[in-house]
Amino acid sequence: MNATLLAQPYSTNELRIQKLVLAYTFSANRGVLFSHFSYQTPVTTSIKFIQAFELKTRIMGFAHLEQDWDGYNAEPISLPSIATALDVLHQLENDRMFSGKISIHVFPMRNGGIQYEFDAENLSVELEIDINGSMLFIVFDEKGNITDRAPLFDYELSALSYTLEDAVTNAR
Amino acid sequence: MPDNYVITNADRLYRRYPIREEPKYEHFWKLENGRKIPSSAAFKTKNGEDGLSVDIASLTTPAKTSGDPLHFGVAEFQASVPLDAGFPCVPDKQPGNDAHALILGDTNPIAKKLSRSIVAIY
Repeated sequence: MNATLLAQPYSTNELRIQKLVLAYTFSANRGVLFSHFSYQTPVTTSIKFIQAFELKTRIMGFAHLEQDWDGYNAEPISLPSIATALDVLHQLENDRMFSGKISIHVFPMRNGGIQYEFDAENLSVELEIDINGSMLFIVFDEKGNITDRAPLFDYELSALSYTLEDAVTNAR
Repeated sequence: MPDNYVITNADRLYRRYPIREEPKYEHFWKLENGRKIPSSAAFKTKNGEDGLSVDIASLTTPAKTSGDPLHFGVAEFQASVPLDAGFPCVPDKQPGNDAHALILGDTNPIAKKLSRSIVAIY
């Protein structure tokens, strides 16, 4: 996030996002220290923490997307989807998924939700988070056909990393 | 565009996607083997849409489809991909864009397939 953006006055929406991020930051005990006033800057760094940090910054940035941000009338990203995306990130970080073989990307969705993409050799999975924060786990074959899809409930989030690693193992 | 234009398997289609990283993180691409590949999220319709907006490549240019090269890239794919998956592609001329077309229906089920079928990025 650049300095210009940080210097801008915060809207109510942005303040709500900051609260979400602060709650996320202080609830996560992952070896990365953040200060109250510059929570974007990790004191200690490593590649996996940098990746998680970048994803977190990116997710927070989605709060700034306005109507038509894709030029095709996409919706602003909802706060519940941002909160859930941060929960997912927290879980992935706790499970040390950033040091594994699965690459993790996150994208805003045109309907106001957020989408995680998990890619590995012979594995392609998406986790869609809708505008209400509900999650949908989708598995694809190598041609991009959907082979499995199922809702993922909040209480199942702790099983996400295991499910992904299991899918990698089974794909070999 | 002729009024009776029919999109066939031989046509190529353009889809615009955001590429700008700062400051709003709206970009839709990821790196795969050193190439910037648009996410499937760029190919998903949202509720209430009749279909996915595209341009017919033979009737326009990537620059026209982008409109703003600082903010938008353009992905090219064969019309055969949605057509073979059972998604009709129909011309849908818009004011100022004669090349506009729609991939009819909810494209969420084929969004990953579309993103994987990209043959060129502009």
